[in-house]
Amino acid sequence: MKTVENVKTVPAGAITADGSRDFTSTFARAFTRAFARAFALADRLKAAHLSSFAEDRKAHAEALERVYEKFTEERAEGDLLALRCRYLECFAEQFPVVIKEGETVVGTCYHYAGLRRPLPFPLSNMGHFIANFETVLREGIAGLKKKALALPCDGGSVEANRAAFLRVLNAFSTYIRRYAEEAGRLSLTAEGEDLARLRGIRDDCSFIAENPPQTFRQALQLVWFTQIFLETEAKASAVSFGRIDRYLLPYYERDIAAGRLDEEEAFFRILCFCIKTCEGDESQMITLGGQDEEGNNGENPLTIFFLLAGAHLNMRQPSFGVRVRPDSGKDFLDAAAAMTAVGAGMPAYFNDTVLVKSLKLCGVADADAENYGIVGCYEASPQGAFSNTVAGAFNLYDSFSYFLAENLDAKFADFDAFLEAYKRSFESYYRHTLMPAFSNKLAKIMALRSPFLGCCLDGCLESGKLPEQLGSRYTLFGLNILGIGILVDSLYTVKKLVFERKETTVEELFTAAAQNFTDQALFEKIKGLDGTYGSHTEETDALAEELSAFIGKTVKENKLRDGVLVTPGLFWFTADIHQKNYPATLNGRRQGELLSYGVNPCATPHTNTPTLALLSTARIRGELFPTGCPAMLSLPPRDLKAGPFVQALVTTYFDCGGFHLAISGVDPETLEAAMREPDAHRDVMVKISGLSTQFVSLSKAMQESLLRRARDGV
Amino acid sequence: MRGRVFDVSHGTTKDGPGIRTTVFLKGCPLHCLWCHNPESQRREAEMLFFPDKCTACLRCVSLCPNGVQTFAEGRHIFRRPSCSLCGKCLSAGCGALKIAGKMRDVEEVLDEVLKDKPFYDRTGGGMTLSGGEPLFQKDFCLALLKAGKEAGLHTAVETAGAVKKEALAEILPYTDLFLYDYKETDPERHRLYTGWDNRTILENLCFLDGEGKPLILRCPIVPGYNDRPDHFAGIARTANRLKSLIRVEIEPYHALGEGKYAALGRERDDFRLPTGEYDPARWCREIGSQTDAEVTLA
Repeated sequence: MKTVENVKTVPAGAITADGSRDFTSTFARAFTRAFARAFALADRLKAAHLSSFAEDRKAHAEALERVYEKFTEERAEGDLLALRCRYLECFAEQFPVVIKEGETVVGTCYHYAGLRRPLPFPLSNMGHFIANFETVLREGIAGLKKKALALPCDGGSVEANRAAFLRVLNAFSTYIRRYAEEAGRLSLTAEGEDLARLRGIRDDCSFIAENPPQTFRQALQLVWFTQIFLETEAKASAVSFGRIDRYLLPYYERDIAAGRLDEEEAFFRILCFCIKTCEGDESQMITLGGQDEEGNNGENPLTIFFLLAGAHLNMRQPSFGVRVRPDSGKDFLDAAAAMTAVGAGMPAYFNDTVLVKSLKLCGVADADAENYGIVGCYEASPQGAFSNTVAGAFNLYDSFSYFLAENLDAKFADFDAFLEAYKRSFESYYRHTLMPAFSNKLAKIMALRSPFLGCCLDGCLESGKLPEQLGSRYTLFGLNILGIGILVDSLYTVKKLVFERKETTVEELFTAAAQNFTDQALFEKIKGLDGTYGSHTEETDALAEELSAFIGKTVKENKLRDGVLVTPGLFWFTADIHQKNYPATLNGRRQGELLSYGVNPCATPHTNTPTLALLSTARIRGELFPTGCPAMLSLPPRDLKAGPFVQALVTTYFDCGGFHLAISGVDPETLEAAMREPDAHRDVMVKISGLSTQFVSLSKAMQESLLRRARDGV
Repeated sequence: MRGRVFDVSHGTTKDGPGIRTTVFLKGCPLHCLWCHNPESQRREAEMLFFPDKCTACLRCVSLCPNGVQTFAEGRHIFRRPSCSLCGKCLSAGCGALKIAGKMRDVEEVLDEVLKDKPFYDRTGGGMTLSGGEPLFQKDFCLALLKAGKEAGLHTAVETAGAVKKEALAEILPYTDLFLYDYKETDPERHRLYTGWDNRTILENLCFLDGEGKPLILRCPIVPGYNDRPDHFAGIARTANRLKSLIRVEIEPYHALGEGKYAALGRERDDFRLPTGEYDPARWCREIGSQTDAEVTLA
């Protein structure tokens, strides 16, 4: 039997030798050789998935519409909660059960993109959370039902919730049982390996339809079924898996010890699982690495399996995030580098120290903060929390425009006075303009009903309250804040040109920007400024640090409502591209040019030194922004394949206090070719924000922005 | 102390150990036919003009005080002889115009290099001086190396060795690693390809080796010029003789610098683009089979 140990020994020396050697990767190659059969089988499944994707998705959409029709015909009555339960019941009873050729992890759930009409009643929730899979696996459906049954029948909302929990859990059980039946039916005419496979599915499904899983296969299968139900209920993206290498580990270890499973079989099932996730929606983030229950390094064989499966498949889902610790192991970093070498921007690297601290500072208990998972793109959250990581969003520059417009003829003694006045203005803007909008948004979230999610979060089955009734142990309200780079550079422009060189006035700058910089002389002065954010110059670095600290503090001081933790992040998903038509900004950005993304510097043609850009962005106070401070790099593919170089970028950035680093690397020529001939380049995967996706399927504006980043580096 | 620097490149990984910053000094005694950094050759500053990057915005026309930048029939015409290199046109910001060779202070360059210190510390990287021939501006080179050592940096110098031994001796105490060019074994061909005999170069190489300085031998291989078995054997022989050699690095010819000749307004009729077999892996194997030294692709 192959052991992970002897797989590991093959490449160890080969990757350390020197930074410039092609990495792609000795480690992964050794793995490929050892697990050749698993890879070959998975490649076939992947090919089948890709060739029937469009067709399957269409069929799925039609089937889902039939579920709607059935649901509508019934004219089910009752409140939103009852409707939601009935809808999940209809789904469980009606939705076609499909077991495809060669599949070992089953359950079909294409996301909703193909739908021709909206759901017949309001959406349930906005996705962006991590279920507590550890509890779901430990309890099984029976255990969860037991908890629901223990809730008091108080004649009020708890009783209603109790009934809802039971209804959706029963529906879930029905859905799984239908898979057992289908596998049984198919096995009647199957033979050989196929017969064994189908019987395995039949037995596993019929067991987990009620009981807690006992084996690795059953656990993995139940995770995927749970995901299907969560996505069906949410009709939203970024339903994330959390720390899958931790919660599956006991099952894996037990099976290996008992001789029920070997490494190759486990690895094969992980490959199958990853292919399955491609039927789901965007940003199903898997978090790998990080500490175990005792606070030690928790990396294990499953961590490596998931990374190498993802690197090999290079498909649109799932997303991968790695928790990098000061004592992260070499195998772990090498496997992560093997995935980076593929070029599609996965995995996302997270600085464990900073993320844990950021959650603690927001009021999350130590143990839960240390056991965090990543939601969607970059958002740190306790597992089993009602995370809502994309609940609120705003563009930082709005507050600056507002301030400028109010103070055009004001006199400031110096830049410090100007900055101080802006800060006071921001505080007032935040309190009086943004907070009401956030409250409003929170009220909308709280008006929805998600009973199945409640069964999978911490606390709802205990409290008898739904997530939307603050039933979960943690309810977060994520804030996505756009444009720190633009704000820093705009303030820097004012500092230099108005207060130090006295070459212009705030009013002149404001007017020039309002006219989209038709004033060429002034425009050139702005563009000629050295030392802008991202050049690792003390002046702008310090300004970025100060502003991030100030924004973090302002957010913290403004409580939304008791029991809701506001978790800010310095990014707004793809808004840098979608808000291209945002008016010109004082840093010389004209209308139509991109806004700065994440904590990245502004897009300027002369910032092509990633090391300097990283040292600047590391100054942002990441520990105040658990919802994420992404820095995005695009490197030439050749550099990407130099594993030690990538690792050095990551580890140095994290030494300096960086929060998150995403490194992608498709060369600009490939992207240009793909824009010219999309049909011939369907396989080109790129990273947008926190997810990897097919380049040719993106809008023209997005393609152009990626091309720019591939050329400029940051 | 000031010197003429034509580029400072952050985050390089090919010029010595770890992540480094490479400072390119202007001026070189050799004129290799295949040189891919022609803007490095002359000692004085030069203007590069890349017509394909011109967006015809005409900003440079209004910025230039000497009427050097003109447009005729929609085409940008750069009157090189009248250009005073004042650099005003650069603020047009289109990237079509560039000046190679700014005078810079040692302190200023060092500050720029030190910005990346966390990366050096993590990876064992540092500063590499390259060119041109860095020792062509010996005093500046020495001052920069001294300052680098004082700041605790690992220092490397990439040299073609066509310099006085005394110059090498002077920088020796402040240099941790030499990246030493070995371009051609046959003396006559060496003169033909680079304009210099290789005797001094080989003597200097022996001198450095005798001093026990770590060396990396860097060998540009240009198909049709020096991809010959006798040169490969010469590389291997030299490698076998050196006591302080770390490894041999093969630098296969690339055409990325070709556009720069036109940008500098220079003709090149003495070099034909290689047409021979291009197989760097084979070159490595062939050299490697004749020596115990490690032979890698740069």
